[in-house]
Amino acid sequence: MIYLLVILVSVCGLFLPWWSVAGVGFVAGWMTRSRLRAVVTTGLAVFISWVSTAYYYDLKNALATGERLAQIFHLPHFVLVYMVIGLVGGIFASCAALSGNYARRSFRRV
Amino acid sequence: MTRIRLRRLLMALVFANLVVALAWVGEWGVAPLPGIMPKLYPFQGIWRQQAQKQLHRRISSTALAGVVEVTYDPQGVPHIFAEQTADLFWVQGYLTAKDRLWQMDFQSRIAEGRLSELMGDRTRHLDEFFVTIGMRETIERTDQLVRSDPLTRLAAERYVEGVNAFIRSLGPHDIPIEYFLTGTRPRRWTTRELASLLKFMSYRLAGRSSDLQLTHHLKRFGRSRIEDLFPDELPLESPFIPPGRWGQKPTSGLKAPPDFFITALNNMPRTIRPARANGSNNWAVAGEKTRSGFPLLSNDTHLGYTLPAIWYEVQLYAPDFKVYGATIPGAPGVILGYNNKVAWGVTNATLDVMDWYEIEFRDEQSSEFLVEGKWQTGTTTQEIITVRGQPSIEKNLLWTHVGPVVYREGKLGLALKWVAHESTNELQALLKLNQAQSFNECAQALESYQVPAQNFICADAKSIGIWHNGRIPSRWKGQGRYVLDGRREDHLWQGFLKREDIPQALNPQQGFVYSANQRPVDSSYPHYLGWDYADPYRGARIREFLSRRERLDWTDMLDLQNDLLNSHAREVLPDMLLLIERKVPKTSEMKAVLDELELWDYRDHEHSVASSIFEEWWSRFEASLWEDEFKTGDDELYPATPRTVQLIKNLRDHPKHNDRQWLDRPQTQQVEDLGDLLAVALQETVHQLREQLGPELKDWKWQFVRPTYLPHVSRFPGLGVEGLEVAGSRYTVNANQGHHGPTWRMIVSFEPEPRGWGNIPGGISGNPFDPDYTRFVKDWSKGKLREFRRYQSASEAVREAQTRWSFRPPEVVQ
Repeated sequence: MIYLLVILVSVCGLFLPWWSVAGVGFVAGWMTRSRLRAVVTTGLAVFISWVSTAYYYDLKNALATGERLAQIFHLPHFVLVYMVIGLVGGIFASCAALSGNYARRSFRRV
Repeated sequence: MTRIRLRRLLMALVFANLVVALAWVGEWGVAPLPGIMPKLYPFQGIWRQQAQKQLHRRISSTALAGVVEVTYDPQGVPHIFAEQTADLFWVQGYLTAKDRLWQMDFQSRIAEGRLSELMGDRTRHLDEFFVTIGMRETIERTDQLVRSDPLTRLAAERYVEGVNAFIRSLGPHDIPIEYFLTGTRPRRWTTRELASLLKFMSYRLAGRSSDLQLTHHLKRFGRSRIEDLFPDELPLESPFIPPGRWGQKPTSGLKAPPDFFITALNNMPRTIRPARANGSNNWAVAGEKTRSGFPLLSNDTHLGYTLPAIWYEVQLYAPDFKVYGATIPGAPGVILGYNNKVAWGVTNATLDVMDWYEIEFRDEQSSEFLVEGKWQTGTTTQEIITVRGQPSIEKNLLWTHVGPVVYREGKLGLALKWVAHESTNELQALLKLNQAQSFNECAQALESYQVPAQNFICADAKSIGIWHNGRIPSRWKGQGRYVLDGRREDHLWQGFLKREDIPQALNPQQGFVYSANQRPVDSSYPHYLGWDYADPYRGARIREFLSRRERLDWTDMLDLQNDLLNSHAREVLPDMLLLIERKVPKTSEMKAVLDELELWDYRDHEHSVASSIFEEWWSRFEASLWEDEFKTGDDELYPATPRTVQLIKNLRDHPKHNDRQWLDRPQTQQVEDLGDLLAVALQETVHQLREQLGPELKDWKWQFVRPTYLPHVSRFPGLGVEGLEVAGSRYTVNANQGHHGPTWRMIVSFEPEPRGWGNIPGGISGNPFDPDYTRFVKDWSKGKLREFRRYQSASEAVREAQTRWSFRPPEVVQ
C-alpha cells in the first residue's frame, strides 16, 4: 500500500499542484479500514515522496536550495528543511486521509 | 440501506474543511505574506527550477544583426562574443537582466525616488529625500544627454532592449524570488533607469557633505576653534601627487570675500549622507620597479557589501570593443577593468562638491528670493511619490539660481548646489575608456569624465598616470566649508578648474602612482579643494610599501591589497600606553590586556585580540572626548582621527597646550587629565569585551568584535551571508569594515600582454538559490584572487565553456 501511495503521489507531483495530495490522501483514507493506518501510511508516503524529491533536485543544485531555505526559515541545518517540508506535506495529506476515513465510516450498511 | 453516522460525518467535514483551509493558506498566503507552497513544493517549486537550469540554450531574436556567442567559463564568469557592437550591448543587457534583474530594478529606483513602489512605506523617507535634492530632474536631463550622443545612445538603447527582451521571455514562475516576496512584477526598462543608476553612483561617491554639521559646530564654538579642529589640511597628510609640480606662483585668482558669513538659520536639516567609508585603493607601478620591466596596476573599491555582489564581472568582445572587467548591473560597458592594451582603476576623489546656500524669500510661502538686492523667481516642479499599498505623496520642489530648496525656516531657506546636478555624460567617457588602445587614448577619454570625480589611474605597457579627475568647482579658500550666502554673487561657484589645473601625475620619478581617497596635493597647490578628504592612513601605508620595494610582481600587489598594518595604531598606541601608566588598576586581567597591546604587531588579523581592544578603546576615547561637543542626537561630526592623534601628542609634550580645553567635561568640576580619560576608556573597553565575549582574553577575536557579513541588497532576511572570518580594518589597506570594504579587487600585469586577477564578494548569479550567488565569497574572504580568463576568440572560450548560450537572428541557421 505505502509503495503504491509513494508512486501515486510522485506521479501526481509531476502534473498536478501541491494540494493534489489531499485527493490522494482522501481516497487512501477512504480505502483503508483502520484510521491509524490510514493516517500513518498516507503521511509517511507523502513525507517519503516529498523529502526524497527535494533531496534529489537539491543534489543537482549543490544543495544550495536547502541551505538558502534553512537560512530564510532560521533552521540550523539544511536537512531540517527537507524534514519540515515533508512534515507539512505529510500532515496535510493525513488530514485529508482522516477526512476520507471518517467519511467512509459515517455510512453504515444496515 | 445505509444509515449515516452524524458524528463521523461531522468529523469528516471538519477535516475536509481543515484541508481546504490549509490548501488556501499554502496557495494564497495570509496578507501580507504570500502563499509559499507552490515555491516550496519539491516537484515544481524552487527545487525543481534550480535543478533544471538550462546549460545550453539557443535564442533567436529579430533585434540582432549577427551571431552572438555567450559562454560561462569554468569560474562561472560570462563572456560575450558579438559580430556587431550593437548586438554586444543588446546581449549584455539580456544577460545582466537574466542574472541580476531585481538588483538592477531596485538600485535604479533609489536615486529616482521610486523605491516605495516596490518596497512600500518603509522606504518612503529615502524616496522623499532623493526627490527633495532634485534627483528626478537631473536624471531626466542626464537621460536626454545620453541619448543625444551617438555612441552612448547606441549602447544605452540596445542594452535596454536586451533587458526588455529578457523580461518578456519570463514565464509567470520564472520571476526572481524578490518580486514574489514583495508581490510585485518587473517593470519595462528604459534609458532613464540607466541615467538613474549613474546618478545613484554620483550620490554614493560625491554626495557627502559635512557643511551643515560643520556650520552647526561653527555657530556653537566660533571660527578659530572649528578651523583648528577641522582644518583643510590634516596633520600627517600624505598627498599622493608628488610635491613641487605646481611651481612657485600661486595662480588661483580667487579671493575670499573680506567678511565672514555665518548663516542666520537656527536649525540645520538632517540629510541622508552616504557612508564615510566609501573609498578605495589604487596604484600602478612603472616598469623600472617591476620584475617584468612592464607596469603593474592594482585597484580595490570599497563600498557597502551587498548580495548579489555590486559588480557584475564580464568579458565583452566585438570587433572594436574588447574589454574585461566589472560592470554595474543596468549600465552598458565595463566600469573598471582592462582591455588588450590598457588597464584602469579608480578611487573616489572624495571632493566636497556639495554646497549649501542660505536663501532669503520674500515671505514664508514665496517662491521669490533675493540675489544681489533683486527679487528673482524660482521654478517649481511637482513630484509624486508612489507608495505601494498607501496613498501617494505630492511634493513641490522649488529651484533657485543655485539649486533645489531642501529646507525652509521662516523667511529663510537652504538650497543645495551640487556638481551632480550638472548635465554630464559619464557613459561616454567610460565607453571610450573601454576602447582605449594606448595610454594617451585613456587620458583623452578621461577628459570628458566629470561626476563623481575619481582618482583615475591608467596604465599601458609603457606608461602610468593618475588624475584627480572630474568637475571641480573653482572656489576661494574656505568656500563651501559652511553654509554660504545665496544673496551674493561672490559666494557662487566661479566655474570649474581647467583640465591642466587638476592634480595629476604622469610617469613620476618615484616610479609609482597611487591614491586612497586622501588629499591629493600639499599646500603648494594653488586652488582650493575643500577639506573633507579621507584619513591618510591607507595612503601612507601604500606609499611606504611601494617606495621601499623593487622588482615587484603581481604577488606583491596581492600582498599590498591584503596588507593588515594598522598605521594609525602604530603611530598612537605607544603614546596611549605611556599616558595611562599607573592610572589603571593592576588586576591580572588588565595586565594581560596591556601585554596583549604591547606585544601587538599592529596587524588587524581576523583572530587578533589586540585589534579588538585597540579599536574599541580608540572609539570609546574618541567618543568621550568629542561627544559632548560634536554630537547632536545621533548626528555626529568629530574631528578627523589624525587631529585627535595630534591632540594626544600635543598634550603629551605640553600638558598646558590649548587642546586641553577639549578635555573638560561639563558634568565634572575639574578639567580632566588626558591619561585619566584614556584609562577610563580602556577600563570600559575591557568591561564591555568581557560582557560581550566572556572572561577569556583569547576569545576577544577581531572577527567577533567586528563581524563580517554580506546582506541582501534590499535587506531581505535570510538572503545574505553571515559569520565570515575576514581580516582588516578601517585603518588598513585591506579595508574590510565588516559591512563595508573591497567589493572589486583587480590586479593587472603587463607582460607586455595584460594578465588580470581579481575577485568580488559574491558571485555572478543574483538568484539566492543558485550556488553561484555566493561562489566567490570564500576566496574573497581570504583575500585570494582568480586569474581572469580573457579569451582571444569565441572558439577559445567555447572550448572551456561550462554553459553556452547562442543568440542568433532568425535567418541564420546552423
